[in-house]
Amino acid sequence: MFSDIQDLDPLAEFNMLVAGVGRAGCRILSEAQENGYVLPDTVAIHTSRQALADAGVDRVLQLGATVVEGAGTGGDLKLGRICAEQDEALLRDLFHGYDLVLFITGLGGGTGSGATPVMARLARDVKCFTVCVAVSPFKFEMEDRRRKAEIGLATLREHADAVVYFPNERLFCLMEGRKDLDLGIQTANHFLIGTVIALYELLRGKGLLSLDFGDLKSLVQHSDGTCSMVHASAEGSEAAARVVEQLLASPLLDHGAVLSKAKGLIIGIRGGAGLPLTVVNEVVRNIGGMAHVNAKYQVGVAIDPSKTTELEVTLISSESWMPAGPLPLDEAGESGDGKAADSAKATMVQAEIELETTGGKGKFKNVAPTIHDGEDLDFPAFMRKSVKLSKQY
Amino acid sequence: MQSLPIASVEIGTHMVRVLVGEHRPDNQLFVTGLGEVESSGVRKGEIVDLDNALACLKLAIRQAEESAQIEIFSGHVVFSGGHIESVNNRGQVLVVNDDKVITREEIDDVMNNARAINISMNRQILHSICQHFYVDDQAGVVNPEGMEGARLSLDMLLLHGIHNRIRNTIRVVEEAHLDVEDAAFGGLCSALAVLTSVQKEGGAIVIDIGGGTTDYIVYANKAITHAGSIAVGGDHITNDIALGLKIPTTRAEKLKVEMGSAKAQHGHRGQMIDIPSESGYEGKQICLHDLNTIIQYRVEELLELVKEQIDRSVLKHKLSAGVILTGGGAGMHGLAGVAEQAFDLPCNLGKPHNVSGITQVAEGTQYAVGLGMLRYGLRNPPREPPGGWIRRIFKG
Repeated sequence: MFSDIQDLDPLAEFNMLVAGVGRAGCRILSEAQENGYVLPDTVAIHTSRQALADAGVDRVLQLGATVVEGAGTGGDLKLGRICAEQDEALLRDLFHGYDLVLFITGLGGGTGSGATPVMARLARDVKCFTVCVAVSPFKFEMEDRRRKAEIGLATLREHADAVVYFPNERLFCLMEGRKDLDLGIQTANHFLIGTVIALYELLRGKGLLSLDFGDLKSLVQHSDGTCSMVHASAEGSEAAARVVEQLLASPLLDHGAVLSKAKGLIIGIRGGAGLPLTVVNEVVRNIGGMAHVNAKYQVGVAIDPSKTTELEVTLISSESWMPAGPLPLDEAGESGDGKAADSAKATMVQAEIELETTGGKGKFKNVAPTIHDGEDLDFPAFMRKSVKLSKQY
Repeated sequence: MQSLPIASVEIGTHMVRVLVGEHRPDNQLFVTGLGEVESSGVRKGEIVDLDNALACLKLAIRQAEESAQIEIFSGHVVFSGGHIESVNNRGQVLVVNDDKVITREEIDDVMNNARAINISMNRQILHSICQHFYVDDQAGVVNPEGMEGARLSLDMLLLHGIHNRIRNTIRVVEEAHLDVEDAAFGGLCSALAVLTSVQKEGGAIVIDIGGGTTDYIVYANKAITHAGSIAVGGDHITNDIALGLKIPTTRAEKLKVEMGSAKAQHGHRGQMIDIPSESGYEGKQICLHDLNTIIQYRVEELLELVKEQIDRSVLKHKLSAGVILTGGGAGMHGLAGVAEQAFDLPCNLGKPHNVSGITQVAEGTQYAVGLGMLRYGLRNPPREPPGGWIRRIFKG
């Protein structure tokens, strides 16, 4: 059961930069600062001088000052791209030396969808592992914004190592009974910040059993590009049981159904000094017990002295699921209605948070992409439709 | 009447082809020369490396000259690429002369009106194809000259593309020391090669699946109603296979041609194919069902993309000849069945008709474009004989 747990690794200092790009990115950073979240190095990046000033974040970078003169892009993707390209040297300097650059951005605007892919490319150029957390526009927003968001996402996939995609609508739906818009957006933002911090803590690996990019990358690769991610925390003597209970009850995991099909898992546990082994054991056993028989999992444990009795668990799970498409690919004939319904449900849940890898364009890597309805047609059709082949090649 | 031979030039994603042919008295297109070189410097139907494309073209011209035993000085150029789009536009003029009889002058005016569309600065109109005239409210008039009416309208299909990309093709041809006699959209050429007049009358969709692009053209109501190009072709299938099965592209291409089918069959589950090892690559086993699944999803999507471009009313009632598949990718096993399902129309492989001469060319779907271009060039000789027309000199 513990065969995949890694040995204690004396990690070198891990540097991570969180960059909030565009209006949404800046707002999320400023909210994180206001609410006292502890983030690693942060920088707010935008083309609009006013928006940067409003954000009130310590470190800011104004893009394309010579192009748009601080006025913002007005939703023009191309202008956003040009702005980032203009400040290439500046951006390279900014990213240089970091192990991980994590972009947070809202898709649909000129800076978010236009400039972020360029920055992701530059960050990768200077050897940073690049993760983009992208939030989609709400359903009620203009069709034009949604199309731009789709194009932005497609280009991001090409340039970033991994893309974590949050459809805003789904996050908003999590807030049952609270329909006010500002609260909904705030909740979405807090959830995002929480995820970013959880990811940071997981990867920083200042713990006993550390996790690194390799683990994340390998999970992403084995997941057909789709992952679910949740985190939960609890305090007290029954913390372990309660955390597991919370995780299994989470709508993001379809009340444990996603977990039961998961083929790959990362379990990140964070607790205070003196975290008993029995607690770790209990969490891993309970979650592992729920997972698929052949699931491969990585466990990371981090000790945070500031937490006394609090226990926090982050779960990234990937699952080999079948789409309810015309071709059932696992076993011939035997997939009855029940199975099809299951997979449809899984698809729905999976769509909430996706972790996507780039690459996978083969010979079309350096060719102008063929974009149709925001989808890059150069990526294999079967992969875009998440069709599972009978075996891993 | 027997014509002088002309040459068609096709700088494709997969192959650069030069065909030489002439019109025979029995209405046959007689192919006398073929030059065919594997393409380099072309992606998705558009030239990305002028030097490489030029080298390929020069070689193909030399081959064609040798096989046709003539010297080629000018060419009819085929172009394609995902940037090519079409739009329908209606022009209108008032018949103001005293007796209200429509003359050539009104027809020219209405054509100019129908051609006047707003396209962005970097685009140019490639073809303007007359569909139907309307005299007052009478629809479907074929030739309004001499008719009486107060108002003349015309529906036109305008094909337009990005100026620079078309110029690139023309430039390569010119640098290979050929005069460009004429140029035409690949989809239109394919239709000329494979459609019979009965099929044109009845209505048909011609889909030419090439290496880098898929061109389509729709005949309905006795006119061309839709045309365009999608930058997805056979190369995408190969690339999907290479990525999906993690094998080299050359192997993927071979596998696609030899074993591939556009329809995954239950019977192929668990049926394994050996890919033998060779230097630098250790062999592996792949599942036939997986191979065909990869192909099926790509092909279905591609056909769906074409279908999206065509009005539903046209699809429903106006296409008695159904779907005609042609181009290098049309020979894929099982493709016709998948297309039949996608369009809910009969589907056939479109082979060039009334062609003789080099057998290989007369039979193959991959030559449809080049043959159609020859037919186009022979049918529409340039009004003003340019230098190339006169300068064509026969050897021996």
